[in-house]
Amino acid sequence: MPGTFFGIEIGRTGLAAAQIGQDVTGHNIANSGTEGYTVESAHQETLAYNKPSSRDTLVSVPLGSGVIVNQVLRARDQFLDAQVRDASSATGLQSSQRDALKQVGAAFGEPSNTGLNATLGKFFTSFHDLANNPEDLGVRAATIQKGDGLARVFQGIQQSLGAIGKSLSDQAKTDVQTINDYGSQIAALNSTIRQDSASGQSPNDLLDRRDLLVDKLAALANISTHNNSDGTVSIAIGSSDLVVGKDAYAVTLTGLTAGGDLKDGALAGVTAAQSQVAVYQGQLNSLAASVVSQVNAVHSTGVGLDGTTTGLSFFTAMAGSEASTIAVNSVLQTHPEDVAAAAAPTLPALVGAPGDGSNATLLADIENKTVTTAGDPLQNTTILDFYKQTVADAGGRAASAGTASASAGASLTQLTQQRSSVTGVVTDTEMVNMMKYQRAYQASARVVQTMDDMLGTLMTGLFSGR
Amino acid sequence: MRITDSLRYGGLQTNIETSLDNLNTVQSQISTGKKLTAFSDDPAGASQSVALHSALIDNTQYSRDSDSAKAYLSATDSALSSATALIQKGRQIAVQGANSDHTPESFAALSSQVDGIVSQLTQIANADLHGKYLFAGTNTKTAPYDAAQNFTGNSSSVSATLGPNYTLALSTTGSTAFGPAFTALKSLKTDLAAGNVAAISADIAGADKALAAVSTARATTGAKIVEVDAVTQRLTRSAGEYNDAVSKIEDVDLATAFVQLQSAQNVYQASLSTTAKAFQYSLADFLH
Repeated sequence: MPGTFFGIEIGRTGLAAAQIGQDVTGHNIANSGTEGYTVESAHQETLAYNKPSSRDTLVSVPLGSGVIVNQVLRARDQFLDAQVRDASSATGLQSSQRDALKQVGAAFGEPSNTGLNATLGKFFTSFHDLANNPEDLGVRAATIQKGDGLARVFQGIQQSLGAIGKSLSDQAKTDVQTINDYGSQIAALNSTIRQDSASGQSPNDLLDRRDLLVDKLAALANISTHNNSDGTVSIAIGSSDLVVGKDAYAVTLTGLTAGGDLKDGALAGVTAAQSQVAVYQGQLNSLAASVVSQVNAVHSTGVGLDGTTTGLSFFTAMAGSEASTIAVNSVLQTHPEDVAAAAAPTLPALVGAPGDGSNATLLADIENKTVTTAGDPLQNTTILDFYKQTVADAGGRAASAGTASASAGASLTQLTQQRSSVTGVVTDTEMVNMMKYQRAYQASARVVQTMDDMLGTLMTGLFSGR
Repeated sequence: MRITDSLRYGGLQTNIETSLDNLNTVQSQISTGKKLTAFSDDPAGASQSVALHSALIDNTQYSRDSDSAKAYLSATDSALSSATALIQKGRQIAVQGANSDHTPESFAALSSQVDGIVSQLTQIANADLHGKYLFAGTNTKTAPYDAAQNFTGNSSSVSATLGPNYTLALSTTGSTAFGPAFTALKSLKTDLAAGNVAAISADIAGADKALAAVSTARATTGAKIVEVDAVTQRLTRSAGEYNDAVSKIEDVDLATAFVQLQSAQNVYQASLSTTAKAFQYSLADFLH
């Protein structure tokens, strides 16, 4: 025979379980908009029945003793987590590349009537005007202006590319810092989670926070995670450890790139874009260098309006950084008559003729001439073709990164939705739960009341008759 | 599948963003008239368009070159035409001098007429276009004939570039065109002054040679004008074709774009109205 207050105790467990259930429901509703929150549910179990004593002559069957909430469960699918993180890394890689390459495209500003293509065209065709009117100082000044304009466009683009490179390198630094920051936060969470798990608690909300951090980490770099038996998670980028148990290890950009560990994620995209920008800077420099050397080579053989001034360079530039230092020779800027429009005099003539524009025609021809000089970075191509290839490469890469980022983004959205279907809160369901626990609470309260009434019957009925 | 709140909100948000992005793309295409604003929009098309832009710049320049060549050649032609008239006048005087009886006074009068012709012809031979002497070869800053009709120009030629690897020599060398005329007229002047009838008859042949030299120069110039005109026509035609091709690559087809705009607008409106209606009801509305 169970104890006198056994029935009331059963009611009490029911009340407690319903209350906990209601609390969990409330927590779910409160967090329905919290980033990274995983829906929770109170897991109820029957309380172990009391085995009737063999000497008990009144009750020979086992009786249940109520209910207990022994766990608050977290709806999580680790397989989906891994997929979401992979997709997030891929999206990060492509979208950061797309953004950077779009900026590169904007720096080149093609196709337009003010880009380098048009400016190069206008510069070289201005030599035609010079060839038509070599005697005219105004035409000479105009040619110098066009050269000046070309120099400015070269410098402007190179400056923009430099700024893009700089901002990418800043971005990479910030990303590495963020990764290390997340790493130490995860390590700190690991340490608390391990303690809580060891003491038998289920630190759901800490797990949510840790999962969210791992998600964010995945967007930045290709991470691999390993769940340890003590509840901690270890994270590595390639072969570089970031978090091992409760310890965080700071990673460096050089460490990640030198070891080839960095393959995916926004940081990988940023570093890839950075080196791509450097390639374009180099190509622009090669282009400027070739323009400078080709124009100077032809220009210095001709003679100025006086028929004798020769050997002058049209452009000046610092070797190695031609695109950012190109400028029209300052001598020509003050003395447009020295622009070598005429060919050097051929004997018996001793001075060049003022109406001779043949050297200017040769200068104009450079634009579409295949470069044959060995060692010239533009060998076997023309100035315009080389430039076109460079711009087309940047545009093509931006377009394909855009497509790849869109498709990676679509699969990320789909996977996130799938995961959100598992982990998200459905308020209507929570409402139903609310009613369910409310009714359970009411019923349990009634059980306690009824049990109390029964005890009352026993007490008052037995003793009042005496 | 559980339809969770975050799934619904997230989905609707993504859909609104996507449809707004599409709408914005079409709108900016219509308002700019360009479907190609960045190289990455259409790398193949953009690459083609860059080449076409270069071709157009070259084409414009060649047009300018041919215009200035035309001006140069026309000026040359008109100078040569005046020269022909002058030389013919000189020849008439020679014929007059050789055929009728003349007093020394009338010979002197004829001789001074020829002298006037010589100085007029010198002016024509020193004709210029915007300060650029037409018959001086490339020595364009100096008048090719001095007061004694000595040629100071050279036999090089000013040239115009009318296409890739296509240059046209424009100059008519002064000494070739006018040399025989000056020789003949000056000799005529001397012979008239001396009243040497036999020599005057010989000078008629000289004037004929001079006329032939000028005519040859004119014929050459005329042929070049025809050539330049043909080039101009070709350039104009191909400029039209290039512009057409650029427009096909870069410009928006408005009819298509407006259809796209309408459909993008519809989708955007639908996604907005769905979102507005999606969360109208929840279980909370029915719980009392």
